[in-house]
Amino acid sequence: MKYFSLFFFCLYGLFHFNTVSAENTGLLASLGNSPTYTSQNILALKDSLKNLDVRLADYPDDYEASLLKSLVYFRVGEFQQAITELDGLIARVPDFHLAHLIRGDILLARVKKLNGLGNNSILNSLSHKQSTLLKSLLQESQMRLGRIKQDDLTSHYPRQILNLGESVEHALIVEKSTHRLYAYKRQDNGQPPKLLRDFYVSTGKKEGNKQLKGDLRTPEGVYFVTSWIPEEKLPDKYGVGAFPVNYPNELDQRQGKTGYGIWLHGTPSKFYSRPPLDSEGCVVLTNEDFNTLKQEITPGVTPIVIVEKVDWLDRTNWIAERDLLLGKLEQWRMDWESLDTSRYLDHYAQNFWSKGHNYKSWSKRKKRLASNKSYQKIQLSDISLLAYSENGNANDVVVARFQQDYQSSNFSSEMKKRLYLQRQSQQWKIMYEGR
Amino acid sequence: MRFIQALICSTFLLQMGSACAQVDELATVLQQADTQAKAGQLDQAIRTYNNLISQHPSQPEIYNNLAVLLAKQGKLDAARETLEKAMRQNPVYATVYDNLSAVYVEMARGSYAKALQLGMAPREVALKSVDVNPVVTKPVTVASAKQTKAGVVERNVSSEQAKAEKPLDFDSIKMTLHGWASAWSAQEVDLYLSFYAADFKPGKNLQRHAWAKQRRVRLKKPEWVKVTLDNIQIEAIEQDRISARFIQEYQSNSYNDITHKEVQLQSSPDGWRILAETAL
Repeated sequence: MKYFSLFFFCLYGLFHFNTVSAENTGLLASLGNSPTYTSQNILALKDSLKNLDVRLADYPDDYEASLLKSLVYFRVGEFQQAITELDGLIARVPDFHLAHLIRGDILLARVKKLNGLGNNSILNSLSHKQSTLLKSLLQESQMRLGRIKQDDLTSHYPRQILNLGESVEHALIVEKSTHRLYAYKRQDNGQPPKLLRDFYVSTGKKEGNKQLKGDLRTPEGVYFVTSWIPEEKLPDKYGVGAFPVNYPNELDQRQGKTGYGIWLHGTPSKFYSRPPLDSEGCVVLTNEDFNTLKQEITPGVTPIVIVEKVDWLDRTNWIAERDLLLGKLEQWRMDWESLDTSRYLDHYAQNFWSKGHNYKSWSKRKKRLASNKSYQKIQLSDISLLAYSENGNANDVVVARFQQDYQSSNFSSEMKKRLYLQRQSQQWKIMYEGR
Repeated sequence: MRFIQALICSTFLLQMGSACAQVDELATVLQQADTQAKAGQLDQAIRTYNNLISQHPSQPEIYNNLAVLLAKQGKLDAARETLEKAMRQNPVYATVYDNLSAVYVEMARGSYAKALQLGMAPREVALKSVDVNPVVTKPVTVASAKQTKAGVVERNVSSEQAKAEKPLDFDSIKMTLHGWASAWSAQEVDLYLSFYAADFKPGKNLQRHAWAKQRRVRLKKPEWVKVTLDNIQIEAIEQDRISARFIQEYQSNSYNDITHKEVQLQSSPDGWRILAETAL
């Protein structure tokens, strides 16, 4: 993924009276002065302004886009537009503390040089509580501003979502390192999914992957939303609703991970948003964003892949990866159907487990079953493929979920099946199979 | 202020009857606004100033004094807009600059209070007012009312005379110098450079361009700078051109000195501009 070479401080530059009174010359002259500034940066900023306008055209209540827009205006010297945008935003979301902080800075920048967000003499003598709050606003701003630097995401696709079955309209990805939640929509005819919208989210107070109950970390892996809890049944701290997810999943349990109650939920009523690292492990959205996202989530269906970093692939690589895994699944189906048990069992990992089975008992049972059949017919449909990788590709897992219709000379069944595939020395092996 | 107006009026009375009537009218209205403000009738005073502005839209002093009252009422945003307008009339006006700074700081404080739940009570922002110099005024209403050919001619003649007889506006020269020093102190290079005339001669065989580049580097170099001027003496050289001598105290994190300086200022439509600068 490429990023524009403009950095946080670049956005947070210095603007003064001269750039305003000079509707004419001041801006370009003073920008030329700034060592980090090139005309390319300005173009990039103009581009981001365009992107933000697109976001706002699609979702007029995208408050973050409004905030970022005011910062871009500020950076390109349009002070009045920056303030107008911010004032409009604050009128709509009076509890958006970060917006107030940035407004203070933009106003103060007219008088003195700023050394970054909230870094000035007015904010010198803060109580411990206030400076903690300031620090968390700075963190939030860095995360939200990070989005502006990101390349156009319409030409890149997340490896986390490789296929979505016909019954799965949407899938979510949470990227912990950038505190974004991406909402994707399935496209027909094998096209990559489409990014609908992305949101700022708060995650667990502690960084890293969840291991134990109470470790205040957000788990990483492939999960599914299991149910819906409306606002009326929740304490205020969960905001306007909650979607529990299936942590710990089969793999987590196998790895001895503990804890429960990992939810996707809203924000307490007296805050607009929360700092990036603030929950006990849940993924937290603003209430406005939660309400927007709510419409795309179906309990029991919608996957949510939580990762430290999203693997962004270009279209060609995304399609290659998807085809590889769909091919792998198809090969498994054909080898199963062939009644050649050794070919079939070659798809399974030595560390395989299923309910009541390990690799040894599974292979014994499968050999016995195959010997009693003259034919088997297996159909897979509604296939979803969701990928999770930890530490690059060191621990690469793909979860396949599909509808399996089985028919043989002596048996017939229909079921929803879930496979965990793991890449082991360049080969994809099934390490778990279950309903 | 009244005394000065009376003096100016009596000087002009001999040559330009109608212009003086306008000055007199302006003086009366200003007096009225002042009385209203002092009596605490801020709304009326603000209305009076707004009327004045519609007649004298290019006079930064009136905007400034209107902003003083708006700030007093806590209408910081309105005060800010008014001061920005004043800046547009004359961007090198030290008082307007200071007032605008004060308004921005207070508005920023208000935002920070909301951001961090600081519980800071809003403070009253006491801005500085300035004397309105009625001589510089070019009233628009009277001119447009007199559309007869004779009237236009008459007005042209009288404004020519006004220009010829205009006494030096020492306050505005002093404000220019202070504005120059405060731009320097703020390390606002573009603003600082805007105080120099286009044909300013840097001396030392430096081209103006090279000089500006050098100033840019030097102004920005220290972490902080404070430049104050003292003992300003102004002397007219010719019409629209003056010489000013003063003591310049320069302080920064790395260097301090006190210099005696002489600058020559040229009057331009944008205000006074530095034509030459010499250390004595």
